[in-house]
Amino acid sequence: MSGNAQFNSLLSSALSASFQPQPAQSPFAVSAAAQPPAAAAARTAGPAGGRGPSGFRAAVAAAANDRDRRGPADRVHDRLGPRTAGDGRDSRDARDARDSRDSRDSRDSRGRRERHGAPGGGRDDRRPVVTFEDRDGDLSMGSDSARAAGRERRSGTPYGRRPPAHQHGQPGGNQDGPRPQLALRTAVLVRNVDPATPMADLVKFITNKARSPVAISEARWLQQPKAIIVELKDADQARAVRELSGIFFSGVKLEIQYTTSRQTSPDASAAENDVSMSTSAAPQTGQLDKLRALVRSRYVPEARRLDFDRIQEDPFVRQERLRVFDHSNPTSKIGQVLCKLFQEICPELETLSLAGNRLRTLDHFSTLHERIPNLVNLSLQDNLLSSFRDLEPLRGKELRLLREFVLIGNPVREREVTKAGGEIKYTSNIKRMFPSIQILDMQPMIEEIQFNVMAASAKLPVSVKPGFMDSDSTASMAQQFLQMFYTLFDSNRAGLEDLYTDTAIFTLSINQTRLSSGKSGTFQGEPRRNERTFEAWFPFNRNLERLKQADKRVSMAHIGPKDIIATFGQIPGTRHPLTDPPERRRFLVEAFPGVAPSNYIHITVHGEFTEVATSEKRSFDRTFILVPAAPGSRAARMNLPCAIANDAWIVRYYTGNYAWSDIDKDQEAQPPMAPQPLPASLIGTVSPTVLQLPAPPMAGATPATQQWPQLPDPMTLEQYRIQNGLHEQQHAMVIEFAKATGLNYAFSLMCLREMSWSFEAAGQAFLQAKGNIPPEAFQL
Amino acid sequence: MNTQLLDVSSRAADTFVPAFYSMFDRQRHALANLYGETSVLVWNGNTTQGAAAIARSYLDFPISDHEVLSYDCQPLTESSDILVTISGNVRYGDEQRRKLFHQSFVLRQRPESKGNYFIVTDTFRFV
Repeated sequence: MSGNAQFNSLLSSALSASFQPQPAQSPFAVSAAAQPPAAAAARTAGPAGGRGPSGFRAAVAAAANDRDRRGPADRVHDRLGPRTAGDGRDSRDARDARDSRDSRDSRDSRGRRERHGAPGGGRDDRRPVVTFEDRDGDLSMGSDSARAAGRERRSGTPYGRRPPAHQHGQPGGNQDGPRPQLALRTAVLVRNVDPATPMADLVKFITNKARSPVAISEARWLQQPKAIIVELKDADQARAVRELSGIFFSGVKLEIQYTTSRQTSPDASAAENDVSMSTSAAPQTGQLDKLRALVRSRYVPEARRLDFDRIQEDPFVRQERLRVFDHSNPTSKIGQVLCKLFQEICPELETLSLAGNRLRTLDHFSTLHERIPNLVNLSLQDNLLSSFRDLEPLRGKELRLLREFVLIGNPVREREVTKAGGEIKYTSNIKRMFPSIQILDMQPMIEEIQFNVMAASAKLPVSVKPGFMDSDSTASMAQQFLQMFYTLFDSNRAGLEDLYTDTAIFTLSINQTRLSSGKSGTFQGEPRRNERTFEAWFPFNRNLERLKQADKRVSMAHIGPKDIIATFGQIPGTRHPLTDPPERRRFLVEAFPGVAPSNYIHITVHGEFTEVATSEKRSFDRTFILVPAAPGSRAARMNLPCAIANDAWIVRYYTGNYAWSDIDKDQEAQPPMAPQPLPASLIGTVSPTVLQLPAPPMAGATPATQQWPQLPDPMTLEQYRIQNGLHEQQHAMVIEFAKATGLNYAFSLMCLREMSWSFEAAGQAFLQAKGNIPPEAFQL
Repeated sequence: MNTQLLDVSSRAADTFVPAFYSMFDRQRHALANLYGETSVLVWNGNTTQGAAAIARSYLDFPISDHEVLSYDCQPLTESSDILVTISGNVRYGDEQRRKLFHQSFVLRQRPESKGNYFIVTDTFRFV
């Protein structure tokens, strides 16, 4: 009987420990107390670092700085003057000298002038200044692209059909609709005009020669550069005039270019040129630096706009002989580099114009959505994009904030909209590729129809939490029990005999489905190959899914301690990791009392063990129903508080503890959940004379030594019992009811008596009467 | 122990187990019928009480597909309750992977109608 002796010593130690708070270092220590409060997660993280507003300020400053260093006028200077090796140094010296002479006032006024000038317009005026020569034909690119478009269509005028904006009234005419922000060019700059020519003659000439009717709203001389700005009613007319570039007027070949000068007075333009003249370019080294400088010179930080249009016309580009978009080299990585530079130099970029760059594909910009995810307006006007496929690299669905998109002047648009029903197809296709846009080709789009459609989400409404324990005392009791049980189960199963009631039932069922053999998809956890099957376990397998014969079902249930222990003797030996520290989380335990009027504790433990004979690891789930040890029973004689009435064990392939090993991490990642009220039906259903008293609701937060203000000391309570002629069980129920409700002994007794000693009925009566109970009912 | 009770309770499990998961997967709104006012659900450590609240909390779950791989059943020896334990897997929504779960039910006879049982405790855990 050495087993019994060992059991006895275990029991006594268990009992002595079971009335103490949490013994240390048990692998079952997953009680309420052991659940780390989610709120304890360090909330010390400071404000997120990274680029704040200072990033934008820095970008603006950098851009401004760069404009100072290298303004367009410098380019004029560089280009017009004889370029020598010493040029850059001389210029810098000159600037340094001038800077040192500059008074604070003059700097301020310069800044003011810069702010007042419309940055884009000003530059557009300036840009043509340096393009008197047209050596390589880049200047007349707009016409080229138009001609190219015409060639591709093989007939007719390239822009034979007007953009829809002009068929349906002014763009943005709908007061409630989105308004275009990308200004279409409605003005042209005409150069090479003899200053002696009367303006009216030129206006008349242009009106007569344009392929479609144009209405010139304004034409005026610009001093710097020496040219005429012609304002037209809309972009279509501007295009018609623009196409006249190269025509002879009074024996001189006119050069006509787009400009956006409407807001810019010649004075402002000249003034800005003055300012720019005061600076000089730092010598640029390397292609990347040149590109960087180019992007900087085109960026308008205040407007978060990058006018990267007609880039080959840029004097700096021409001077440096940069080939920004090298159309002869389709594998060029220049686009990726540019996107990166956009991000680097214009991190706040919202409006990007890539107009007039002879783009045949957008492969260059396949990373734009990553670099500039917040792009709002994008113009690809007057490029050579000829099919929807050419637009695909742009990843329109990824540009989630894109609002306005311009494709006017691209073969794809001009071709599609001239087809029968082509316009609606074109609009629909573009919208599908760029779902977020609200304005296409200056035309507001009808808002998309949306639904609150829920995808087949797999999101669960509540998070997985640690094992549920209704109270610290239940947790402590369950922990004690499991430690004792499994110590004996692994070392001396015969010693467990006294733990089972006379009518106890034990069954074992095997879930022998391999983890990787699900009907579809795989399970979580690591499926392990070459795992041993459960042959040694099959003789005990009462899996009702497979076992259908009634007699077998009965004989596979083991009833009473003798039968159970005999069966234990045949079941393969096990080794549970009992000595692993709790933080290894080998086990997950849930324990709570049964719902009234039943009087039991329900314990479920999930975990793992090693088969001694094969060293195979297995996972298991085991449910115990513990009942108070009956007076005179073997368990009671052993001073055990309870005995096992039911033991249902499921053994399965090993899955480890992945399902609950990181529960706390999940908890930390989410806001702490509201405290869970203990279901009322769980309160006070276990006889307190036998098992430990379940603590009141929110037991986890209640000290185990809580006093009950409405209850007297135990001696006085005993007197109450005798006075009222109650037996022990009734007395215990009254105390339990008092603790659950806050009522004092007398009212608790009254309530229970009226409800014929039904705890549940008394509880419901209490809840119904709650508002009408006199205050003295809650006082000692 | 009346061995007939083992047989009867086993057949109760034969009926209950497929019915419960079929209802959960296809007629979740009707699940309230299987619970009572005193019923307690402990779902992965979260507790809910009462048929209405339990059924409501189940309605918030995504589409599910349960597969039962083994189940077992015992009559509780101190009462007429029945313990049913289940091992299986479940897929939620469009999730690729199925989750292994263990669920144990205590079934109890309704006081008002003999022979009719309801779920008095429902303990579910991903394992």
